[in-house]
Amino acid sequence: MKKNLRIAAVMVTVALVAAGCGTPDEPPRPVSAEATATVPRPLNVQDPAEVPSPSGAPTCNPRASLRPPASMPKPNRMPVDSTMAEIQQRGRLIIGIDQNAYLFGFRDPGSGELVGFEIDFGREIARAIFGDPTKVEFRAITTAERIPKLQSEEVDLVIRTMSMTCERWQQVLFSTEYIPSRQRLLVRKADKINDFPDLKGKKVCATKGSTSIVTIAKQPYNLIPVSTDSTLDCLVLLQQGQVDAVSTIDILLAGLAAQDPTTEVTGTAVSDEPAGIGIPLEHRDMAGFVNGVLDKMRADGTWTDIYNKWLKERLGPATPPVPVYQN
Amino acid sequence: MPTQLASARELAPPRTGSRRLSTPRLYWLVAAGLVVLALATGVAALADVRERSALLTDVSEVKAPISVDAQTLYRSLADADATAATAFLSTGGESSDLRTRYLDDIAQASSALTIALRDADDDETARLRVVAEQLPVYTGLIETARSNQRHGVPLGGAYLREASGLMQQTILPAAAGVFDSTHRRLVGEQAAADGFPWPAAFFGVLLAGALLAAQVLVARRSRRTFNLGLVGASGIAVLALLWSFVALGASTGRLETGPGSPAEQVSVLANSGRAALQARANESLTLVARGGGATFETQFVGRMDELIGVDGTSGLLGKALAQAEDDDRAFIEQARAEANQWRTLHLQVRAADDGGDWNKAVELATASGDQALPAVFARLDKALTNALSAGNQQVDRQADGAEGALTGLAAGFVLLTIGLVAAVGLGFRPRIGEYR
Repeated sequence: MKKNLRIAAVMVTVALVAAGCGTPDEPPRPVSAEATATVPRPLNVQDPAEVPSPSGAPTCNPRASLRPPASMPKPNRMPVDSTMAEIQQRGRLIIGIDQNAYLFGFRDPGSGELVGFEIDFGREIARAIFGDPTKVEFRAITTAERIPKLQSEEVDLVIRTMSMTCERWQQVLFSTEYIPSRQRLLVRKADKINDFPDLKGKKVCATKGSTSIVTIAKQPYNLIPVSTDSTLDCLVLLQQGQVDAVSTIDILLAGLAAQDPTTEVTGTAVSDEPAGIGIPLEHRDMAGFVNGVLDKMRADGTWTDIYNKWLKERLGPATPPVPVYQN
Repeated sequence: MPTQLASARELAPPRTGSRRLSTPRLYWLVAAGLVVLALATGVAALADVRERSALLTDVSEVKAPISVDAQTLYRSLADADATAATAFLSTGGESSDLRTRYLDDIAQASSALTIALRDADDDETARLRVVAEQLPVYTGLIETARSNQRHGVPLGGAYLREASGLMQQTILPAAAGVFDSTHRRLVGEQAAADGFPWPAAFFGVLLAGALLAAQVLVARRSRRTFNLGLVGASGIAVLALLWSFVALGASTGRLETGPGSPAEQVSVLANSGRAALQARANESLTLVARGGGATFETQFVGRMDELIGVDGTSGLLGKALAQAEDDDRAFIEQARAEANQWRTLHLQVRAADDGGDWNKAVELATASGDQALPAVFARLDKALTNALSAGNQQVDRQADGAEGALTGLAAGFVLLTIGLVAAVGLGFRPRIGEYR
């Protein structure tokens, strides 16, 4: 009996010890892994870009605008019932601009102020209406918003390197040309790309909703158009090596090249794109008035002063484009 | 042999039938059976308690810290993004406070990442690798953005937008996935430590039945109503049962895992913090984008709706408040009030920006002062952080409490099992001895 009890005690001990023990399973250590970098992309990049189909717009002279009135009204004396009188009533001129186009319209990060070639043009028009260049409200808009904002009359004018085309003449009015531009290329200097044929089968960037995308797609070298929200994003893509060129009007390219000395503007001009100030289709009086202001700026040297201040260093000396009128 | 047992021997019916088991043999078998059952019950109960304790230790020492660590990762990443974007708005150079905060966030995120990798399962490792691979790319983009900004060229803003896109579309979702996964593991382990002890209960019931049957058998054969050993054994079994019942009941009662539990609350609060930080980043980016920020504004509205709902009282914070305990309500209520105040201030910023006065909008968004937007956001963030750390402490306390309730139960089972076996032996020894 005693022996049995002893056996039982041993059994109890063994069983209880067995129940209590047990080693947790160690998971196998992962071996060192291979990894490849994925280069990030700016938001909303389309690669390849959707190319808007060319519409059957009637042929026209895209440079031809409306004649200015025989005599320009004095500041603060806008003709009764005119668009300008409404603006004078409101107390400020509302202009759609680009806040991200270096040299044309951008925030000076030091002061936070909007400055640039196109900003100065906006101020001159405000000066003509109010006698005060500060009575202007600049609204930053995207490339794709230019026509819709004019159609809804949320802005009085758009000064945002807007190319005058026959298709757009169906939707909005333009002033006379205030700066000539042609579509060219921005490339990395190290790549030794000189012109469009060197880009055969390669990616070329421009903004969504711009005429530049269509022009890129039209080139006979199998270029792959890539589109972004802003021209700046194209420069980011170029710097990151995700596209081989940026192609848009040379004046914007000069602004990009100024931000990265390892890039250069090159290539033959593949388009002639006069830039005009966009005006709502109904405001014909405003178009005439703006053309009057531009004429005065050409004549009294204001145009040259503003050009020299912002662009001469980058684009070389220039004379104001000669105005063309419809009648 | 005690003398009084002699009469029992005389009274015992003679066992003559060769096919019937002799009484001593029967007693031997019954005693052995009881001992085996008692051992099985003891082993099952002990194993159960050991496993529970191990799970609870794992919850409080491994899973809960991992979950907190994943929260840190998630939060510091979101905070880095919001801070970088906000720092970009200050004209005339970036504030050194914001710069330090951004650097702290990145340091915290990297450190949380290395710790999180240590205990991650395969899925989590894959997600953490996304964070590990992309975080240096993100910081590189931020530095590119900063240096361009310093040169006074708008390209900086483009890099900042790209960096933020990478954070919000790639890095944060991966970190969020890690948080969700560690949280699921925590809750799963809590539920496992909370389960019903089926094997132990099965053997316990079997043992109780066997003890009862043995006493009936012995009472019939020996003509004694009670066998002291068996009564003792039954007593010990009842004691063990009561103790288990009380201890396990107390332990599981302290672990809640369903809706309204601290673990669930932690998840809701961590998501609230993330939503608030993402909203802040998008608010700043709308201004940084300078006219091209419509998508960021849409994101802001979405995150705010997620946080407090369209009505300002529902959303994640509404849910957190509904399931909060009284002590924790204050933080959440404050967070909700600040979030509503923030939304009001944000509308003023938008009105200024949409009205063309970008400078005023930035001034509103970066103003100093107690009622200004940055202060309101800082208070919201602080309140959410406090609420979250209170929640994490509660999860810890729960696991500790549940573990404390099990203290001594394992040793108790060993002693009780030995006692039970001994009592069965002592009960049967004299009965078997009568037949020598």
